[in-house]
Amino acid sequence: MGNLLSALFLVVIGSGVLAYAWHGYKAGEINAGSSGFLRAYRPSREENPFAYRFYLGLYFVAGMAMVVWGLLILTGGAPPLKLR
Amino acid sequence: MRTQFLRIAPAILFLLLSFVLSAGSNGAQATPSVKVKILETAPPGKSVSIGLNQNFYVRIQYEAVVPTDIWARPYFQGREVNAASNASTQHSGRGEALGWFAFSQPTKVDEIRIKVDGDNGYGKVALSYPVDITVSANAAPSVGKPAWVDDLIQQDAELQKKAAAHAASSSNPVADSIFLFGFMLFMLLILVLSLAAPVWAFWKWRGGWRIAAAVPVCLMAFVVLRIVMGTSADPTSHNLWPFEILINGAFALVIICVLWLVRKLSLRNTG
Repeated sequence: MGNLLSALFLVVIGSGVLAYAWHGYKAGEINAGSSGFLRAYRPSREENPFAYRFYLGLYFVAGMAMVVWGLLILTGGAPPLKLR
Repeated sequence: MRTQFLRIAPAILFLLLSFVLSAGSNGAQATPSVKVKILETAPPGKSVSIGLNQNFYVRIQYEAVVPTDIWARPYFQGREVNAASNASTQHSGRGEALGWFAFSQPTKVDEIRIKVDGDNGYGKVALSYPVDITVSANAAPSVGKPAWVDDLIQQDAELQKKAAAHAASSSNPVADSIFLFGFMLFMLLILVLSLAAPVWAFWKWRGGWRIAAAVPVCLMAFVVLRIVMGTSADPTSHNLWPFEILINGAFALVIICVLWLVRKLSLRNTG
């Protein structure tokens, strides 16, 4: 049960992050924290290509790592999360 | 409402019937198919001291309806004590079986459990027998085995010989080889497909589907990379690597098949 819960949590969150990365890729800009009080930092492909690609890559790698970890838990290839 | 109920009524009836039948069959399984009794032990007595690597023999009387393995295992305060013990041969009908165990470290035993085949093989407790065994490095040396130990060892050897002869006569070497070859071929096919299909999908698909296809690709890449790195550090760390690839590969294949199906359906719906 703990394994299934861990896997489900990681796959769902990871898929969400991947979906957001894909959305950012299509939109050409991506949310990446805040820039000052109540102002979102949104690097775009045109204005800040380096930061945009960096965050896109970060979201993609993080999302993929979570999904793969979740799948590996299901096959017994990785330890489950230490849920309490 | 009434017609809906009439539609699902057979299903409810079937479920109820299944429940009653399964409850009945569980009740039948609860009846013990194996009865065991400890006749004597060697060294004799309930409170004994034995040395390291000295066998403690248990003479077990059994009555088994179906062929059953029987083991004697030592316990202390409810926990199984680490000990070497004999491999059981299958026993059926009425008779006597031998169980023994020996220890490589000083310990204590307060219970012997006679275990028989459970639902998953080893592990169903058929009898609990209280004892007080002390295992120490400086125990008095053993003074030979009683005759029943040698008799039961000989009986076990004969049973093993018979079982081996029966297995050899009942197997068909040609059919076995064909089955094994077919099985290995099928496994190889799964292996190749599980590696090729995700890569093919990743190459062919576009957009979000490509990201989805990247998941099984990354999964397989991680598994293969882990095997390569693990075996380069310790060659014995992934002795069962084909199975690792096979299990994860089959999983990756299932993911790709599901993605392929969903993609096909969504493309059909969008026209």
